[in-house]
Amino acid sequence: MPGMEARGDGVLGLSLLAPGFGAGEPAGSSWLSRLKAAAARDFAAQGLPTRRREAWKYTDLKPLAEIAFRAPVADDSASVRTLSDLLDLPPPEGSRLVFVHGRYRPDLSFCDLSEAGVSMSPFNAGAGDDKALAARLLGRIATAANQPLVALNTAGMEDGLCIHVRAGVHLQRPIEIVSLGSAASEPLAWHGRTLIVLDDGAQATIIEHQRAPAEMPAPALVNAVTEIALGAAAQLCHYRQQALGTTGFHINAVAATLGTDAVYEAFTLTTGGGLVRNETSVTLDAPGAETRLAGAYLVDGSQHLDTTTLIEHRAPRTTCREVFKGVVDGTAEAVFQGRIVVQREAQGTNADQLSKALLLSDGARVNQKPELEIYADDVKCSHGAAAGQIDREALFYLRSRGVPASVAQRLLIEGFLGDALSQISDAAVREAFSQTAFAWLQDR
Amino acid sequence: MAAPGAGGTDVLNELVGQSYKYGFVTDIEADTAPKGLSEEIVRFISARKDEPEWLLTWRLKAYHHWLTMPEPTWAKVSFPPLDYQDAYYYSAPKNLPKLESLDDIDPEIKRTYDKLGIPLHEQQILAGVAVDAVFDSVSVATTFKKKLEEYGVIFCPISEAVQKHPELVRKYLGSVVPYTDNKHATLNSAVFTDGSFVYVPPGVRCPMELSTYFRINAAKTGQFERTLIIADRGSYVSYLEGCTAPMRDENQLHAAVVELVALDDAEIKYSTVQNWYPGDEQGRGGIFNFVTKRGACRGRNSKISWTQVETGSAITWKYPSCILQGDNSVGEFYSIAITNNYQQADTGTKMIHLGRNTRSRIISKGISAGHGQQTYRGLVRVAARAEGARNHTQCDSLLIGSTCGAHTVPYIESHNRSAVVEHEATTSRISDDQLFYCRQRGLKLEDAVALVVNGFCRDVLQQLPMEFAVEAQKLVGISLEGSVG
Amino acid sequence: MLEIRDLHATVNGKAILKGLTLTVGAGEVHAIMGPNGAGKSTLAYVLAGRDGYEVTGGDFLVDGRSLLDLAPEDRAQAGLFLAFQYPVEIPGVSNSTFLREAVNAQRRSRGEPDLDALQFIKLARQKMNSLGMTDEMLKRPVNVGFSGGEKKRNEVLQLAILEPKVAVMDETDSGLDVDALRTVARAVNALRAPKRSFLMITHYERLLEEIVPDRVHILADGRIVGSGGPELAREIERTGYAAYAAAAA
Repeated sequence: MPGMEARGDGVLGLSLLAPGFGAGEPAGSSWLSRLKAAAARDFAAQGLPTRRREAWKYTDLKPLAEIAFRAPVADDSASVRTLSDLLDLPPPEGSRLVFVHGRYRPDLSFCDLSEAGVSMSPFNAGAGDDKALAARLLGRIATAANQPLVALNTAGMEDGLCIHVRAGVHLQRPIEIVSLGSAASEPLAWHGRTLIVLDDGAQATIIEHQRAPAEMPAPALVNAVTEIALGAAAQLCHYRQQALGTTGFHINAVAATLGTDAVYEAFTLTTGGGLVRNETSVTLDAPGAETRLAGAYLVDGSQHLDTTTLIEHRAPRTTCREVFKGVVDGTAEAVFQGRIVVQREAQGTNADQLSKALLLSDGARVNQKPELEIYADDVKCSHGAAAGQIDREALFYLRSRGVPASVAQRLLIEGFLGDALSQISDAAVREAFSQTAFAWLQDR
Repeated sequence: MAAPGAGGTDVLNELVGQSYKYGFVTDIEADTAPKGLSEEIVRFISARKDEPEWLLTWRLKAYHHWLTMPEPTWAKVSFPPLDYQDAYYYSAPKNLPKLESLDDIDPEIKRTYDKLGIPLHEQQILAGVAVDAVFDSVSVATTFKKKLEEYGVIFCPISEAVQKHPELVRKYLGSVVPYTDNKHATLNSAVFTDGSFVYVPPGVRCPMELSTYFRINAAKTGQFERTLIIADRGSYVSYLEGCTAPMRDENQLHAAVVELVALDDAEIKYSTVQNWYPGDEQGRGGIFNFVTKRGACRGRNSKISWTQVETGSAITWKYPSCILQGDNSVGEFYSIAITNNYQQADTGTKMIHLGRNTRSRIISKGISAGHGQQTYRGLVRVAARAEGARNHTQCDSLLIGSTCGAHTVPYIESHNRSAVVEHEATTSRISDDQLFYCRQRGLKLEDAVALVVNGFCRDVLQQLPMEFAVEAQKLVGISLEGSVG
Repeated sequence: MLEIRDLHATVNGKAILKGLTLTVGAGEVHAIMGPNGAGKSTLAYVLAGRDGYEVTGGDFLVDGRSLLDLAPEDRAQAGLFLAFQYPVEIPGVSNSTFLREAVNAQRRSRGEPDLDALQFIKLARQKMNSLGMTDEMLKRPVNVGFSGGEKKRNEVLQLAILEPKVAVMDETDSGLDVDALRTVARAVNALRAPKRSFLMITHYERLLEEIVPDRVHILADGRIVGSGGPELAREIERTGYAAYAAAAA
């Protein structure tokens, strides 16, 4: 590829696949090793994306290539003590699955087995049909071709987790997934992988907490991939809270495919992170499928937050709605790329997208690229993007009523983010996420 | 952007060029150069135009740079690779037979002329009918010229300006679109044959719309047109380019460059109606219109406004842009683009905010019908120092029929917190309710479509000078013929 | 003038009109009343030829000529006018442009020359004066931002300018307050003429207090189930449609 700097190993970023990665792969899983081998070839062919690749126009991964990452050592129990600081979460309502450095930690997790019809198991250790499910779907929803970081994840993943909710089952309590990194003294990279399958008519809520220490002595690369398959009329609410400190590279790819009348609702709240890329692609594969993607981000310092979405309407009467709002302080930079594709067969599509950013400081920047690509005619599609500062007139109005400037500013930002937060249909999550966002504002 | 012709290169080129120069010319019949592109052709063009050395040097630099450039591939258009050697770059032999009367022309074209309401004598000239001496367009032109001279406005072919006003041309040519800009503009820099040059002196408000009477001349412009317009301090000029009448040309590739420079308090309004041959209903033939248009608002309080109605060409690749350097400068882009049958258009604008309190406004109305594919591609960039910048963008697409496509690709880069940038876009199908309502009142389906589409485009149409607007409105309807029913 | 013969029609495959027969003589005003869902608006759209309203049987004639196989614009040119219940907004197109296009389209169909801008404005002014309307409505885009009353007045203005043989008024009273209703009714009354027939479609009787019909028909379940003089409307106002709905079932 043009513009790439040659390194000792030929292709930029290839060291990420050095020995040590993927070592924990269980024996006797020929489909998995084949998948990983193919992905390793894919990654080797593509290398790390440069800004010449349109999908990475505004996010530069060049710094990654400068770092000699290595895979985390298995079961580093020493780090668990330091992790407890990160685990300030309230006791779980239902199941809580804890991952450290991308590895499932049964000792820290709690599996609520009181609900029937759901299984949570590693790709290779699940009951017969879950194993078959993983073998059938893994790498098919998030594909390695033309997505170097998915290829890297696939090549580098150890075992991952499959969550499977069976037909017609409505989970009463949310499933929590907690992903932790520790303050390791050397650069670590890990590639967590999750597969979520809801059979026809199933309903579930999944809440992810992604945590990283505020400061890390050495940079870490977290390169996670989540694949989601929803059957007919299945409904998944997928909420993510990312409290990622001030350093590190956090790359999250979510890919979902939706059946007839299925609904995928997702919300991501991001505070911090050195470089964060949240990429979500949803394929509305069957008639009546609907997705609602929303998010709020609050970044400062020299953080870089990239929200990239791709929604592809491939069937009639499919719907998408996106609302993303963020505040950018310090010399931080936010990126929003939202692409909506409506294929010829997707007549009756409704698609609506909004992205707004507030710049709070002189060095703050935002780059936005909303994009509509439409090949059907019976459609209603729109997008809006805006950037600006806090409305001065509103600020003055509040101050004239005696509200101190700092409070007035906070109130207005809260109102601004509220449009996004109100997209969360689960009241408890909405409340908790709002609290987190507002606390960030309070502390700034 | 540096002034062309650094001494060393000049000498070199002279040495290299000299030995070929005359020998080459003698090989060539009169005003015709053979097919193909080479350094010799570039030298030939320059020699035929009796250009000064600095311009030849500049052309050659462009040519050599062009050789190293890849084809731009980012636009959402598809076509087979261009064979640059299979084209004429100077006085391509055109087989335009002189016709005896309007009865001899393609009835399809005649019908369009009538629908547009073009006066008979203009129809004759457009169609290449031998015109009676009674109608003398030259004398009309002369009257206008006299008036412009009174005001000190220079308006002439750019080849003439090179001879008569070399200091102005040398100062500004390539200063907005450098010869290294993009493959098509670079090609133009190497081989441009002619185009318009306008200079409006300080404080002068140009007394007429330039080139309104120029329809006829415009029909004869070459395939590598080069236009340079300079509005000096406090001046104003409105320039009209193109023609609502369908324009046919044997050359497939058109790569024009337009550069605008507005100094302090100056304003340039540039309106285009582009109706080149779009190819037939099966998508055979048609012009590739790859145009680079850019204006620099160099001065404080300057303003550049682009208005375009793009209905022709098989492929349109065009992004009239504004570089808002001067504080308080204003950039505007108003666009209507129609793609029908197998036409493809990738068009939009760039608004680069560099100065303080710079403002820009974008209204784009895209209509896609038949198998047409259309993309709005735009960039709004607010640099860190562009305190108080404002942009508003409205981008609407209308779809007629289920086999066309409409795409919207805006890039919005806001790097100053006091800037306010707003972008809105919609895409929807032409409303059945509106069409039915019109038909119930007795309008034919095609007329109903034309009416509804004209309403959709109104915000842009009203930016056009009056006499242009009326024809453009008719053109919208004509362009969509056959798209419904 | 308007003759509807055993008309059957379906919408999305569902039978709505099930053998409707009705004749409105020249210069007459007839009213069609009926409960919600009886097929009143369907009748209006079927007559005007809207897509999706499929005629499965029967016929209708204006001035002795069947319009069934004609496109909507050809029906309009044959003298059929529909005043819409919900007139659509057409942004960017001024009312005067719209009306002139319509007038000239109809003139052309009769082999008459186009009206130029000046002639048209003269005609429009004259009609507006007679209806007590102001010029301002001509300049605004078609129905955009119009109040309910303005939209209905605009429909009547179009009626006045296009001079149809048959005017079908679909729920012209809906969404109007008493004053607006009177204004519109006065205008319609002014347009009654010996060579023009009106078919008023309405749910309530109050419009018929203002525009007194020659005949009143009750439409239920896709058929005319009762006819009478103006007194029938008042009876309906007292007793409701229940009896007729039952009869139709």
